[in-house]
Amino acid sequence: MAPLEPSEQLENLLAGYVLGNLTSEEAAQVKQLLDHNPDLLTELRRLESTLAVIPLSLPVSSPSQQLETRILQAAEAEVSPANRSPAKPRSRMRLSWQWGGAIAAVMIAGLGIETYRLHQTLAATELENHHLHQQLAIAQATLDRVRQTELATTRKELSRYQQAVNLLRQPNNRVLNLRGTSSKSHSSGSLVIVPTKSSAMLVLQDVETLPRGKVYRMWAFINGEKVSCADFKPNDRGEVFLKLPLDKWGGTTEVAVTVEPDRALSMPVGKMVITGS
Amino acid sequence: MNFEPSDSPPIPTDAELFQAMQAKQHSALAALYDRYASLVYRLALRVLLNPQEAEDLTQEIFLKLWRSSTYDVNRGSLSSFLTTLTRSRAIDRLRSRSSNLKSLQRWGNTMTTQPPPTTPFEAASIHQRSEHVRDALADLPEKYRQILELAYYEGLSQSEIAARLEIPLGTVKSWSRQGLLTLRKTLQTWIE
Repeated sequence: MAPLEPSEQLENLLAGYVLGNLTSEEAAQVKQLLDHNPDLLTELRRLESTLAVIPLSLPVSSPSQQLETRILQAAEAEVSPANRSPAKPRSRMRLSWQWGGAIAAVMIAGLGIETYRLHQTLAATELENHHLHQQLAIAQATLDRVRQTELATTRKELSRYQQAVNLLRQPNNRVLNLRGTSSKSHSSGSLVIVPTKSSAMLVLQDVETLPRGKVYRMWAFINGEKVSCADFKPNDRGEVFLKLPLDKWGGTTEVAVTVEPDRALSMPVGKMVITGS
Repeated sequence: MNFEPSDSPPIPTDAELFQAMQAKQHSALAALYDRYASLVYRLALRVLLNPQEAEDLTQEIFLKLWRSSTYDVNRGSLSSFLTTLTRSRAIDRLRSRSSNLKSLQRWGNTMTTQPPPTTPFEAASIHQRSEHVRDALADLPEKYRQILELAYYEGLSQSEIAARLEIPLGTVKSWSRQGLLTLRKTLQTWIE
């Protein structure tokens, strides 16, 4: 008989057969078909295999580590003393070469499996070691980076403070006190103008963080004109600490800080939030 | 024979390990345990919902394998044999627990006599196989998947499923068959 390609109806019957949900007549029909069409057995086996792999989808969970020991001990206990190897030396001497060869083959196969098992364990240990080393290396690198960054930041901060102290020691310095304009604002600070060094120090605290695309801009009032002095943003703690070059505005007696879009504008367009005089 | 050490010894096949185990090599049983204990245990746990009972059943299955009285390498893959046996024994236990000794409708009792070829599915690691089956089941229409899982994990008969889901028996039969056939097609390139 020619090989039978499973039709839709036949596939349905085979699936029902594998699932055990055929009527007795249908089951008999399938058995008869299988007897006459060996190719159908292949399809049947595929369906059985498909059913058998369903549990692979279950979430991975493992039994306790003691279970393997328990099973191996129980297996050991089941081997009768007569079957245990190695056999007594005297009886081994009487074995024919053929038996000796067979036992050697099994022992070599056993050695191969043992090597494989040891290799698996070694590979797992090495992998774990490798992961630990990797984690250690990452931790070390992070620590080094933090140290370097902190050191660099601290040095930079120190240098800025030293510059500030030097500026504040200069003669003829002028100080403008700065305050937030809103009653809700706690912003305060100073602008120290140092004419001898053509510089100024702006120090502020409790300055609110601005949304992206916005900056604080300080304006100096000179002869009725507003001159842009500097753009700035506070740090995470709401502090501002800036050294500014004095450019045309060294003689100012009044400044204002507005919130502006983050681009150059000749005139303030935003809200005035801090003033100083 | 070359005894030079190599970086990665050849991975023994299931058949080689089973053969060595029949020669009472404990290391072969240990290697098979490494390979399949998690699969057997997770299925036992899913059916029995009790870790201690699942471990007891895992032990029973591996000792059964050790005695080699039930598995024939020419009758199907070892993993299929293990899951079929585990499921059957787990559901037997489930039924005896509820004092319902109705004989279990057995699946997988029609194993063919053709020697199984090594399929891509068998060759892939358990981890890869699990991912493929998970994806395939996730792609299955919910109604098909639900019926297959009720029958597979809880051992419910088609009429018990019909009663539980309040749908006609004919629909249960049709959906479970369609589910199996669809799953078979999805995993086609793996199960050949």
